[in-house]
Amino acid sequence: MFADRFPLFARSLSDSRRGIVGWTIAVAATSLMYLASYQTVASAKTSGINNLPESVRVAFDLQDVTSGAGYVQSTVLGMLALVLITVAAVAVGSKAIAGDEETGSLELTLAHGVTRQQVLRQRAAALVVQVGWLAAVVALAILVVTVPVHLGIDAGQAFAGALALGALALVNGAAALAAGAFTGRRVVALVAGVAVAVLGYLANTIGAVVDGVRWLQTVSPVHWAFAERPLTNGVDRGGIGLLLLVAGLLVAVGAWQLNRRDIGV
Amino acid sequence: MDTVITTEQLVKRFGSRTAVHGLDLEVRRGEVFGVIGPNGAGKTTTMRMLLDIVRPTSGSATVLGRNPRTGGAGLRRRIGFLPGELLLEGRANAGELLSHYARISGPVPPRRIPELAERLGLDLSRQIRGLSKGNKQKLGLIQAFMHQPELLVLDEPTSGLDPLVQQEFLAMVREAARAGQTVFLSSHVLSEVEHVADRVAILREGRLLSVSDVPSLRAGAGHHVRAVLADADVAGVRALLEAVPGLRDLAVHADGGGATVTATVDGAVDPLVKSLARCTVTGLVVAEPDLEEAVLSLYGPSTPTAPLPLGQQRSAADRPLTTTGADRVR
Repeated sequence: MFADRFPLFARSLSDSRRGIVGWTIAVAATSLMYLASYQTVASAKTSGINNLPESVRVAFDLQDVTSGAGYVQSTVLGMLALVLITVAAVAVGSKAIAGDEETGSLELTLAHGVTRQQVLRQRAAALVVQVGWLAAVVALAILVVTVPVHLGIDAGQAFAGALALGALALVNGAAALAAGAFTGRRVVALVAGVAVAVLGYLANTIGAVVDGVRWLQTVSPVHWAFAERPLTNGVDRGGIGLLLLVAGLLVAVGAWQLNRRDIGV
Repeated sequence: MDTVITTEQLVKRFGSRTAVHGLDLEVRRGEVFGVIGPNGAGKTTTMRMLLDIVRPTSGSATVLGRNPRTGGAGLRRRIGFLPGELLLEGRANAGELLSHYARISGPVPPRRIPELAERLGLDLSRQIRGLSKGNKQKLGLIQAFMHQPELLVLDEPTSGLDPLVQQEFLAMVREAARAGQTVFLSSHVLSEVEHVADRVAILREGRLLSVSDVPSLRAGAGHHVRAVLADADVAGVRALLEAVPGLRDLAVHADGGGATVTATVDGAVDPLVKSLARCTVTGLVVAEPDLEEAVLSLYGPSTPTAPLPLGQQRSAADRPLTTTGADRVR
């Protein structure tokens, strides 16, 4: 049985099933609402958006809002779904080790026949699955409405966009998980996850607007995820690879310290 | 001697605070070994070091022949652990959580979980987050006992349990010992372990004050004696009794034509009875030693400002157990 082979992974998913149902509803409802209003918004706001200063349009990624892909990118992928899935990922990531440690449950788990590395790996895997699922919900929402509202996004493009979104949220969640594994403090984990998300967003936006600091974009996970416009151009292997590498490195650093430190002190 | 737990000069510091201060312990296979001490004595930290949850600052620990640090998951499968603070939460029910712990510990015989649950009176269909402290404690005990481990490490196992369940727990400990399992348990009061422990270690501020079996501890605890003597003068009685070994807190009062004597006897009461027999004894009460009181005096009013070596610290203690045949481990 699956739960016998990967008990910690199964337990993590089982423990967060209610949360996942809630996040699924939130992500689906928000995405569908915005996607469905594409035509109204595109026709009504085009003139308004075109009157905005160039820098504002660049900052909020609104240059291309009249195309389906541009609209979905700027409202859902780069904004609402990103915020929702990031919050979910950071919550799951901070609970995985640090939250569990603060309640004392981790101590009891580790007193059994499992290693710290197993606990970390299986909980990181549960994070990947949950983030992946929420990203898939966004892809599904796009596919449901793409024909009726003429988004002009095909399945491959929707998949590419959701993959970029998921990988980006995963970096934020991995930062929370790693900081939690490193320190054992849930607050530190939350702050780390939120900081990576916010700083990444700011670096991308400021880098896009301010000429002198364009390099800031190159260190922003948001840029790695969306610079190649996955909803138009398909999967950007380089960007996705970089995001997954960073997420993996973060978890590895957390794992290294988790193995060395005292638990629950 | 087959030992299950050995610690040598085990030290654990958290920053500037020293939780465990050079602990030497030996727990033998098949015995029930109690550790008592006030909060902050280092009981919990010692147990956590045995499970590799925290790592020693220096010194060494050996559990079931392995170093906890390198013994890993395989070693921990052979141990059942109940943590001191069990703050379980979640929406899973008790049975689900126990099945989960069964998957990550040694093999659990079928029907074992419901049997233990019935024994302790835990409803397995209840949600964890709705459980009272006592019921969470029962769940913790079940997960520690269910795979019939060679070694049970139980931190304050009776806390939160009502007296009937405490009795059931003590029966489980005795059964485990009969089955050859070793039990290492802690408490902040002696009365919780005295009926079940073969030997008791007393810890204070991370140091071992003494290790002895319960009868020696009881012998060392001191009998309270009250005797009424007829036709005796106070000075004569006092002179007679002051020569009795192991007598302290002696008080002699004139009482009509005779005297009333109160005293505490450490060790055997026989010499006192023989001396009293020279007088006419009209009343005699020898009260059971109060173990709790004896232990409290070992905890002491407070620590000496400069840490003393073990031997000196014992003699500084009010009632040194060394004089009563307490078996000093290492």
